[in-house]
Amino acid sequence: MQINRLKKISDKVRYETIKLIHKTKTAHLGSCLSCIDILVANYFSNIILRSNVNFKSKLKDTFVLSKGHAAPALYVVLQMKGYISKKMLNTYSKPNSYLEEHPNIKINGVLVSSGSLGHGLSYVAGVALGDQINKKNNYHVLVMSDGECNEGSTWEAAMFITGKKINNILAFIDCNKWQATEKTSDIMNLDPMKQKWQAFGWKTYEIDGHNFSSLINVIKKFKKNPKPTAVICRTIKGKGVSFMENDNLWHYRSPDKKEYLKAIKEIGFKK
Amino acid sequence: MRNAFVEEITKISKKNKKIVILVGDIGYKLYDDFKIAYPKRFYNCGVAEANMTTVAAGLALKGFKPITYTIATFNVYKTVEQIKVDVAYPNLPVIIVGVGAGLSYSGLGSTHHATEDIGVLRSIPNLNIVVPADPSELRSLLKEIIKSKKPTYLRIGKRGEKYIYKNIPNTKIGKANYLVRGKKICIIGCGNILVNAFYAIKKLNKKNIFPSLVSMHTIKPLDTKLLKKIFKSYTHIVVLEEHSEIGGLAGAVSEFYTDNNYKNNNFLKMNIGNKFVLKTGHQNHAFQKLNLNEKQIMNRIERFIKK
Ligand SMILES: [Mg+2]
Repeated sequence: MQINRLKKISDKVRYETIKLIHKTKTAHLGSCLSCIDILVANYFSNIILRSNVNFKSKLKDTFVLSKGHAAPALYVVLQMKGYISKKMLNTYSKPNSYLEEHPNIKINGVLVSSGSLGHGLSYVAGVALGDQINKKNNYHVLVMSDGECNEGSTWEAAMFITGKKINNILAFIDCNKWQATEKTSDIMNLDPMKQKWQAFGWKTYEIDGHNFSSLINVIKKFKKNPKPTAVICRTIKGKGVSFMENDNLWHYRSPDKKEYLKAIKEIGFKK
Repeated sequence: MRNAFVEEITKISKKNKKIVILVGDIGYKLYDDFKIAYPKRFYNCGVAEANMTTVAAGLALKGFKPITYTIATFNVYKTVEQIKVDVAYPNLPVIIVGVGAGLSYSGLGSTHHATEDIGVLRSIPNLNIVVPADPSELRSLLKEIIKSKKPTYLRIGKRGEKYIYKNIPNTKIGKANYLVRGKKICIIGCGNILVNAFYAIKKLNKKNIFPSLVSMHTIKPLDTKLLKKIFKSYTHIVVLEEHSEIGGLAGAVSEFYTDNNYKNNNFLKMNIGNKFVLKTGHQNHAFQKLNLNEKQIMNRIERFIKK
């Protein structure tokens, strides 16, 4: 039941995200579509991220979208969870709006201004270290991209977290096999990704990042044993729209009217 | 200066339970007292300065007062994006301490010189920049920085610096301190190189030349109120710093000068120029090579005043 519910929510998030990007002619649709199921599994399963995520005046559980370029998908999720209004969502990328094309700390429900890759894991490390000092048990979830693993600072953070025995960090790595301009494997030697994280002392899983039962299973396991956990999510860039899947054109391109209608029809929506 | 820093912060941390110190694998045994007193508030982050800076930002989000501490060149140039995006942009109360700044590590070579750090950081919004003249001024300023709750770069020397102040002075962020009151010439400077000017002045006094000496310990926000007065009261202005001629204190003072269309002052800038400093040995030799030692400062001012 839970799985079907999440699937439905996921379709809705995909639809709203495509619409938002189509209307505003902004970029990064492919990157949004690859991580939407991960966002939905975390925000809507009510296993570890419940209410008041990233509640800045009294910070408990946190979520960081380290691949900040997937902001439109996050904004749609935040709207559906009630962190921002529908009216505010529609200000995305417009003048006088904090809803920029990367998340801004000024937005309710956003903890850090991400967008420069390779910062998120260190940020989460600091927040979780604060919990360790205060002897508090909160959960810290992060979504990063495979391209982000090019950044040295990602690995600095990976070593730091296990070196200082900081727990309660659950990192999803959206491995959609692409980065901005090329296939990740044609640029640097990222694989074997799982073994890399393992070697850095992390508990690791390798799953289909679009499979809700796998995602839920990992989140539940983490909750039982909240050691630093890296989830290698095998995903498809542009997931859900046949003509966008695995085509890196959609890293930057936004769909025109015809493409938009075709795309949402595939997800089961009209207009 | 680093000993004064560690002593003072250890003292402050007794009352202020929010202070957390992160070091980049530097300061062998330096923090032993701190570590024993507050084991949960000291972390050696290794030679990974970018991570250390963002970890500090994360701690600040949790309400802590983190301090990152390592050699200035590493704590600035390796981390400038983290300082901009993770500390200054969200305006978090992180203190970035650059130890051994300027030419403190002269003999270690240019890899260890931090002589562009003020220039690199000064254009980042929200970030205060503080450069104490001696260990006493540092002790006083450290308290003020913590009180200010602002992202701050604190630029200090290493050890064995000479004192200028006889006692711990009163200081305020953004408000410069007069070290010597004279007339006609005003030397505005920052950092421990002010010591050289302080003793140069004693010699100049014997020749009937009486420069004032101002410790512009806060480069940002600049004490423009005092600068206004200085430009009115003195004909000859000297700007002294252990920094590149570009972007440092001289840059800040010049910007203010042109912004306000002043025109009646003569300027002499004393700094390390626009070059890598090579083959120097100890810091004192570097000063000599760069025309910045006590005697050279004296001679340069003597020539300058004849203009
Ligand atoms: Mg990717």
